[in-house]
Amino acid sequence: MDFRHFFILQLIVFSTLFIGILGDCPNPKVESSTYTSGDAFFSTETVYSIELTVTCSNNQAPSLYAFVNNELILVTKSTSSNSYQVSWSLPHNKAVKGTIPVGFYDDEGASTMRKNMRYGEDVKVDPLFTVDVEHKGIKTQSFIAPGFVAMLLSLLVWWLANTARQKLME
Amino acid sequence: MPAKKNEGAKKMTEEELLLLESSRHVSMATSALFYGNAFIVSALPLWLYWRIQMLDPLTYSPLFVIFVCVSTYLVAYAYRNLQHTMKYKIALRREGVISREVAQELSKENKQERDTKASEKKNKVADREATAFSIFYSNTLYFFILLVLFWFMRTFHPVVNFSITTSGSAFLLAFFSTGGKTK
Repeated sequence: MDFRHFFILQLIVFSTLFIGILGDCPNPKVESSTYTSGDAFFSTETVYSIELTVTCSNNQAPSLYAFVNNELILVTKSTSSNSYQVSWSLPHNKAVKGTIPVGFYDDEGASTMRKNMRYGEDVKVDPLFTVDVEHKGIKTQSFIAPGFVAMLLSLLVWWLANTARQKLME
Repeated sequence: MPAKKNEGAKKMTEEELLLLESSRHVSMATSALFYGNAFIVSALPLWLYWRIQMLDPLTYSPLFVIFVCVSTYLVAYAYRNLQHTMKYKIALRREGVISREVAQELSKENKQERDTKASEKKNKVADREATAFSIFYSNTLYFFILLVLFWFMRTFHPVVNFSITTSGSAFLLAFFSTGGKTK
């Protein structure tokens, strides 16, 4: 191995170590907005959505993964800016109410998480950052009270019967 | 003599038919139909109070029985009134068709015989039609009034709601049934 090959190998080892120490996104600054659907009458599932703007100190926009419902979801990244978006849905009866902390991981964190999950290891991997989603619960009531609808329907049926009666009594 | 006797019997039948047409008399079967239907219609709202307003059927059984009985009587009364109001009009409407049909069927019989048969059939048809329509119409009106009262009484205690809604709708139905013109 000549000197040149040795230098390239050293460069690779050091850069890997450097990235490993600092991560893909050191000191992330996160701005987030969250949304959860609150209606159960017109929708079959509860939807959760998070929009993020992540600014890393190295000005990179790394790939992010969100840990939701015991699985990792790839966060959609904007091609032009450092904006991200992730959403998922759950059946109404499984939708958790209250504050839900969602951990975000970079490639390295996600691969460690995957490895832990695969081998069933309970080693905690700290997320890059966490965003809290506030879900207030669902509203199952319709906009119009069923009693009122029943009243209108009965009025319609009676009106039809009355029209028939008037025709008969002419 | 026997011919005269037969003629008298026919006359009686015709008179009876005419009386039957304008009387408020209903047959036993029709009456049973009225009361049976009225009972079903009056008992149906109990489900609403049992399952939605959470009135325990065992605890409130005396209240349920009293109000269902009162409602059954009033609804049956409304059926009877409406049936009587409509019977005459329906008979008038169907008269021509029935007379033609009977005349075709009994072309060999004399006119009196044909008239009696036509009158009998007309009475039967009008009775059946008026019975069916009076039950249908009264049921629709009863449920409409019941749901309106139920809607306006929704904030009241279920017992008050049940008492007023059931008796009120049956009473109003009976009251409205008396307003029609017979002829």
